[in-house]
Amino acid sequence: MNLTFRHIVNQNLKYNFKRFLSYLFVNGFVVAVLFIYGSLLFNEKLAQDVSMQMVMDYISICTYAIILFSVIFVAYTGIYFVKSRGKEFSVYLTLGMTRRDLIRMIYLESLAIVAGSAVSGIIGGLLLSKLFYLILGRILGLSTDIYFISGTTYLLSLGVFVVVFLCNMLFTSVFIRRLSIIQIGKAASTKGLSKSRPILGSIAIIATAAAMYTYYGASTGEDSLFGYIIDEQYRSLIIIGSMLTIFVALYFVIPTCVDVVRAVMRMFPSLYNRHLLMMTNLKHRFFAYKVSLYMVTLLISFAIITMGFGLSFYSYTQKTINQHLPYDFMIESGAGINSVSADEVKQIVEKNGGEADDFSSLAYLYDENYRDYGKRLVHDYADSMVISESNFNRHTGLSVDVKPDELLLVSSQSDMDSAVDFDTLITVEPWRKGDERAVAFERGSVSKEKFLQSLEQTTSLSFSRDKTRTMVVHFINSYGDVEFEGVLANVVDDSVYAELKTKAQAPEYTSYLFNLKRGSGEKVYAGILDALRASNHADSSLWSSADTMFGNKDQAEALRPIYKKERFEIAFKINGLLFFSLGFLGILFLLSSSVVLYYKLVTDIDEEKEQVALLQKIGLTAAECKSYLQTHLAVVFFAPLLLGGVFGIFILSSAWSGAGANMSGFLMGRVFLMYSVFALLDVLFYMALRKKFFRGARI
Amino acid sequence: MNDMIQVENLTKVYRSFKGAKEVKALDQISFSAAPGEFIGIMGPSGSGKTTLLNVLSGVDHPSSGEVAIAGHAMDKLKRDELALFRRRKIGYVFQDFNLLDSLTLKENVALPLILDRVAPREIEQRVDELMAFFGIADLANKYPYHVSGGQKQRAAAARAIVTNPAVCFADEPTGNLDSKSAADIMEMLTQMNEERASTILMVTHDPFAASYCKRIIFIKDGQINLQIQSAGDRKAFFDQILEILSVMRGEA
Repeated sequence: MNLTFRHIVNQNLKYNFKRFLSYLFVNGFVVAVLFIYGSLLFNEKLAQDVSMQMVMDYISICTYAIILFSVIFVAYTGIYFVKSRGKEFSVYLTLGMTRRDLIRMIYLESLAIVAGSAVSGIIGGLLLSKLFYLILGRILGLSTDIYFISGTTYLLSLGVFVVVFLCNMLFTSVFIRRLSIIQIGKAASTKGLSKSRPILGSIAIIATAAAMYTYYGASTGEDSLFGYIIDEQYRSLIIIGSMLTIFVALYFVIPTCVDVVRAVMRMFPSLYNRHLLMMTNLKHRFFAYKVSLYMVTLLISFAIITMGFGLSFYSYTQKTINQHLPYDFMIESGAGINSVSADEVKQIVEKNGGEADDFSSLAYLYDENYRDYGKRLVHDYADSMVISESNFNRHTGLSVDVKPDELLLVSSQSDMDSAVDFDTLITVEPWRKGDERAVAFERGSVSKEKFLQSLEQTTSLSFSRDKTRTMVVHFINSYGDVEFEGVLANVVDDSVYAELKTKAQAPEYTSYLFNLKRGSGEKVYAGILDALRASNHADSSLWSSADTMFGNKDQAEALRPIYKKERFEIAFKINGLLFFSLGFLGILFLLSSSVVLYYKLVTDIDEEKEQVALLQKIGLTAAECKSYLQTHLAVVFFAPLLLGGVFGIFILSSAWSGAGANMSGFLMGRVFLMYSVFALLDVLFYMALRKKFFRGARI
Repeated sequence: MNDMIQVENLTKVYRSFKGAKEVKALDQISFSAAPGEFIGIMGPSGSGKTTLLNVLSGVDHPSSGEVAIAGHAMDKLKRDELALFRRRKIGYVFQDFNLLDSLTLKENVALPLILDRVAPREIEQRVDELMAFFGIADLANKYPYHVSGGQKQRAAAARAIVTNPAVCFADEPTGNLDSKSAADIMEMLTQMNEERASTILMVTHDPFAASYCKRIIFIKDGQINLQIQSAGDRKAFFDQILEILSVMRGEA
């Protein structure tokens, strides 16, 4: 018995070889990708690189996304594979094979596939990762070899894969146990027939529209949704929830769209008749269609989102980095940290063989800004400072005039709205105290009145909206933060500033900003670091890494002098790395969408062959057959491209119009360019597969 | 040249394959059919019945000889012309019905007209009339997998004549049916032949089905072995067929 049984398994493997091969290929591919990203996660050599440490969070998110993706993808292909063989299995059952034997046979087949996928995947992964690390090394500008495969990587890729496979096997046994011979016999002609679900569909469409609205609102920084004020702490939750809703509801929206198209076309009988074969096919094989359309749509929008984010980060940095870092050097001094004078700074520069140019000292007081929109009070969380009118004019070379009751809001970022619809409340106190108050305010969201009461003796200023102007000037190096936190300056009349300075118990800070006319930047910077460490009575452990957390204005560690070139390098490394890893992920999604399309095509060909043979007997000309098959193929290819494109671009454009309003046009231009490349690839793939499809259907 | 079907010295040879012998499926067959005839082609398995039907309907090409349907020489037609010719001038009833599972019975019947871009209203009218004729009007919106074999074959027959073809070919139309359904469908074909004056050529090895024909051509080894004509009494014709078949079997 054993021998015979194994013989059957072997025969099966041989018979289904082609399908097994593509299944093997898909799984091998997933293992290879898991392997590459896993190796990134456990790469000890890379872990020492500063920028790598900074993007490690993104990399791990990517890896988890890939793990999630591979679980879904391998499960999908596995289930589809088993389901597509339902008829074959029912023949075995009819012939008297027990379900146990059948499951055992499928397990044996699976084992062959698991082993094959694992081996080919790891070999593929090893080869691909060589290339991956070569490109990565270039991007990071590393001269040392960063190729490193940790043993954990093997464990991860195999582990995830085995878990997925175990799940598939569980599914298989449930599927086989429930398999009804009678149903399957009938399934050949009724499989995938769909019931229209107008109510569910309508709900899904409404949910999608609502989720799009909430996503847009939350990501563009709207304050309220459906009349409810957004609690800041739930904002990201709303964004993620809306995205999830959009993508889940899509599964029900797609069939409803098809139903609507059918219903509309039915109103025009000649049009409906012309596309009768296509329309009825859509309904008849709806399940298979729905799943592939959904998968491909999802994958394409994921590809657009991931790649688009990577591309946008990179392009944004490239375009704006100079605006965010207008000076070669910036030293911030205050609260007893970095206590140097302008002359001392110049001396340090000269001592290290350099000469400073455009030297400017800018004095200011740190404050917290609250915006009063009438009904509610909002803390504006940008780093903000109060600057006197004459200090500001001297530093920028402008000649603004601010009256004692007036306020000029100056942003170092180019997304300042010129319309002011809020009164401004400014509190000035030692930085830590002000920061804690602001954090508590945000957390508690107390009423305006209570908050004002709580201020008591705190020095504060208020300005009404009609006395407030705004302006964009790149007047300071943003705090070297890689994400370029904007800086907000409250420019006030000299008399107001002088009074504030004496009344508030807060220290005045000074930033020395200058360019280097000649000399070595590295040497000057090293000199500055040493001199400042000495003045702070610190050793070389202070500022040992460029990966400093900026923000805490009362800690020496956070007041690391800013050297433009250093920030440039880090910014490009990080964004390059992000671009690369997100781009890679995008390519992966895109490739997977092609795999799904290919699968769909291969499974369709046999059915189409029968159908076409029959249609030809009835008297369909070759051209008509081709046009029918072509429509069929075009729907599968281009509907997801369109739908996925709409959702992907919507998600990106909303994110950008919130985060980088002035740049969103530029960024979306890039994204559209990328989408055009996707579309072009899709068209090429379509044309290649069309040929195969025609040949397969024997036209 | 008023004949609906004209077959002249038709020969079909299947080339030798992998050392097997050349097979002459049809060997110099000649016959003709007048409009409104109901001809049965009978013969043992492998005698060339289905090959003949395929060549006549233009699905397969003859090695030599000529076929003309309604005055059109089939070998003169190009591939697409042949397809259009099949669609408009030839109806086909298959043993396994060959209905599209994705279409309702009504849509299946209407398919040749739809392919020909006939106006929807006209389609509606013709299809409704035909479905009523075949007694399947109330199944119009059912799918093939919802109905019985006999009902499927009625729909297939309706589809075959929906374009008012010159000839209707039937390939073992009762092959997949129980005796009751087989009788029903043969009644239908007879009605089609008599009331609508359809020319029918049917391949069968079922003597009962064949007894509905007006004339029967027996072929054996690719050649016409015998032809008989019905005198009008179906029972007698049936007996005659059985007798001939037993003789032929004896010879074999």
